[in-house]
Amino acid sequence: MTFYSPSAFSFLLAVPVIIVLYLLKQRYEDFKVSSLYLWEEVLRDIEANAPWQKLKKNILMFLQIAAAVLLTFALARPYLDIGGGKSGSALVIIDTSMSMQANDTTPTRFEAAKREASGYISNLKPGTKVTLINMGSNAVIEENLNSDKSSLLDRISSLKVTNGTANTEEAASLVQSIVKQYPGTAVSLFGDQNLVIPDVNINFYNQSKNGHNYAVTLLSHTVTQNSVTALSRLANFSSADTSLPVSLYVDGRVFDAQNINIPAGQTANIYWSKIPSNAKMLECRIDKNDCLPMDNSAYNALNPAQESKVMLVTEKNIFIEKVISLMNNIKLFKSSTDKSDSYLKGYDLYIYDGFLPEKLPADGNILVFNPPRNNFFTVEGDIKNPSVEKPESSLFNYITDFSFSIAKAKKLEVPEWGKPVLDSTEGTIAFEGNLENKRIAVLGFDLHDTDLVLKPAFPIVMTNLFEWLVPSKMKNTDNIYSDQGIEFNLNPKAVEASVTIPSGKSISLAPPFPVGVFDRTDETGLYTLTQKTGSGSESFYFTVNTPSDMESNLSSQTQAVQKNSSTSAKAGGIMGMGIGLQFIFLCAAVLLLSIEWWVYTHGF
Amino acid sequence: MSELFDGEFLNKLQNLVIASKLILSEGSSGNRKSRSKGSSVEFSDFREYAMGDDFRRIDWNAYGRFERLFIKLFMEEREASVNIFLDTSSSMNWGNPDKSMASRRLAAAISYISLSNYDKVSLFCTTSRIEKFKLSMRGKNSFGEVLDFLEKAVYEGTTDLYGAVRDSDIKSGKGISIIISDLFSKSQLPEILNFLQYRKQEVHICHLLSPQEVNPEIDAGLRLVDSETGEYRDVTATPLLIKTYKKVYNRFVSELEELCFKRNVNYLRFETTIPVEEMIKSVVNGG
Repeated sequence: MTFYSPSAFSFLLAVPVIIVLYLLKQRYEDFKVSSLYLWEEVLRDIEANAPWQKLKKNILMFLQIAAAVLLTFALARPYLDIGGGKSGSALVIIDTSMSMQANDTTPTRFEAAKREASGYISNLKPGTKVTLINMGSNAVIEENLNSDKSSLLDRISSLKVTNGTANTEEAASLVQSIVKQYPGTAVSLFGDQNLVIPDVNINFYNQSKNGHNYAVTLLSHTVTQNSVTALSRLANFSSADTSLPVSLYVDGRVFDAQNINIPAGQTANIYWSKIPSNAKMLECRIDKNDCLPMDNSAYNALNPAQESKVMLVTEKNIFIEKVISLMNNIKLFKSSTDKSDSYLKGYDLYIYDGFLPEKLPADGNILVFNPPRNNFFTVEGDIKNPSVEKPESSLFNYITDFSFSIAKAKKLEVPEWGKPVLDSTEGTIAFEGNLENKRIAVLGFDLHDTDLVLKPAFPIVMTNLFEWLVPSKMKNTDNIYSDQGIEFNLNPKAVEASVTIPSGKSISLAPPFPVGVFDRTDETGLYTLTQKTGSGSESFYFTVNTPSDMESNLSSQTQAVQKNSSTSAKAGGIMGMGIGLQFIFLCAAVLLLSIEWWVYTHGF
Repeated sequence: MSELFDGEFLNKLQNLVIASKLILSEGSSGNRKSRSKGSSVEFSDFREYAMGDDFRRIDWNAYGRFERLFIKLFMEEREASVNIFLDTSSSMNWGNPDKSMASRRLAAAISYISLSNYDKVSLFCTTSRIEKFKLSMRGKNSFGEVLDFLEKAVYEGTTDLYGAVRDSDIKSGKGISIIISDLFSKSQLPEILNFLQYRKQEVHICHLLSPQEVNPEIDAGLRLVDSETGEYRDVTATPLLIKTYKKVYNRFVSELEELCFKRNVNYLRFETTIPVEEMIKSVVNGG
């Protein structure tokens, strides 16, 4: 048996104090009686019936001393080592995703998980090194190999549940690397969704109780002539058919309400038409209680269409012209290379094809095809038939077919402000970067010298390029979930940028430029991106929703848990844990005090 | 007039005499009513004439009214000797109300009634011996002496009731002996009864206790000190202690009752809260 708090043994000083108090107490007060005749008989009777009565005066003292000793032991937090082995290491994962807010477990899954995890840590062997992982949108190591239980318990109590998803992949990879580094680590997961990691036994403490839940899984809109039509998708994640009252709020006011019947486990769509085109925000809300209220609302922002001006400086390039003509909200202007000496300004994007001016325009981003030698970066020479390596840049997202060929390309030296986006075995043939607060993409080949333009990949690459280069937009404008990072494409003319979150707080993004990833998206609702330029300011609205696709189905997660619960139960015995004896000692002390009281009152 | 025997008390005594019918079974000649109906001057009762009755005792006036023959019955009157043994040990000077006060009032009341009936009253203050005594007082005029005697009684010393009774050297002959005591020397009682009954005494035991002796009021740890001997015992007041005390007390009184019943002794137990007239009623009615 070991003790967590041996310093508590100082309370044993209470024992001599009790003895002294008894000695002082035993000075009886004189009380005159007429005669001891009856009293002597009484005392003889008592002693005859209970021979140990002589001890009785002291038995209370002995009981009190025993109770004091037991209380002292309880304060010293005794611990019985059952496993017998050395203290090992433990990995505690706590799920902080949105589904943990469900109240099918009292008070919530998350609070129950924290409580259970605290109990688990309290009962670990002293000296056990505990790593605590917060499994939210990112898997974060909150405590690393810490054996101080009080700080671990403090950290657990400070954890907060989020509106985001559980990043199980990241958590699994963390667990794998920790278990690999410290073999024998006991892994415990406190959540509602088990992790299945090969060769790792996870002791899964399931907090799910199969609660019923309804969610708005989608809210989107289309603009038709002078009005807006919205589509909302509602899901019934319960095991019973239900009728849901649903309301649509436009800019915070009720616009329409409907009742919809949804069979168990099914989804249903509702269309909302004739929404005013000047609306800023839509909110679809289910007006019925369930186990997870967070996902009963979904938001969607409406932004007025903004036309971007693009200047194309080329001798002739039908491919570029054609692909731009397919894009919405882009107005194309053209200029020939011989007129390019004239100073260009006022465009959002400048595309230079086989040409670069001596001085770059002051505003707008720049896309360069087949650049000549220039002052801004080094063009080293031609490469014939470069063999292109599979690019990893986001400019080539969504492309599966990289079987295009290039007859001739220019080898580019990537400047300090840039990074390569397309490499060949001979050298870099395309790069992107930020120069003087301008985004610049350079592709070192003429589109006429490649069959890329004939492949389905070409419009995708161009769309990706435009997404990056055309300002005042951000990536992933649809389906932003809580705790998801957002990358903004700020207007190159912007001197200041900030985001107003749903609670009304304004968060500054820039300066300094360039802006990083915006990750303050824990609140759901309408966000406003405000950019100040020299000529005024412009606003862009976007919404953040709960990840209802991944987190709202409480029952399916429960099933996943039940499937894995048998393996987790086995894993429970792996770590040689001990038993905290504090409670037992406390109970024994209370019992002794009760006996002492009973002896005192009954005189036995 | 003292605090012990105030005017109200004396008035009560006067009333008690009228109400009392302290009757002796036998006695020497005197002014005391006996159960034997005889030919003395004091009328007692009527009964119908029966064959063999003395013609001279027929009440002719009654015959005139009822036309039936009635015989007048008369009491035989005898003088009785009443010996009152008053325990004046320290233990009697205890309790609330005080046993010394109640015991003296009881003794005074019995004396008054006895004197009123022309009985001969002797008073003995006893501890381990006869501390003082007053013998053979007769007539109401002696009551002043009784009061004076009782007022001057001092409650101190230990109890040896048997030794004291033996010392009293009362004359052998029919009489009444009344013992007023708390009887915390029970073991001596058979010897006392032997002694008195041998001397042809009709014995009345007035067992006087304070309420605190019946239901002790103690708490916490106490050192109980004997008022007579100064001996002590340490006790802790527990429910068991109180319970055992009551058991011992009940055994104590029931043994006394049993002993007195067997010995044909009139046993009367009083708590000091009982008014003296109630006590007297019990005494004169034979319990």
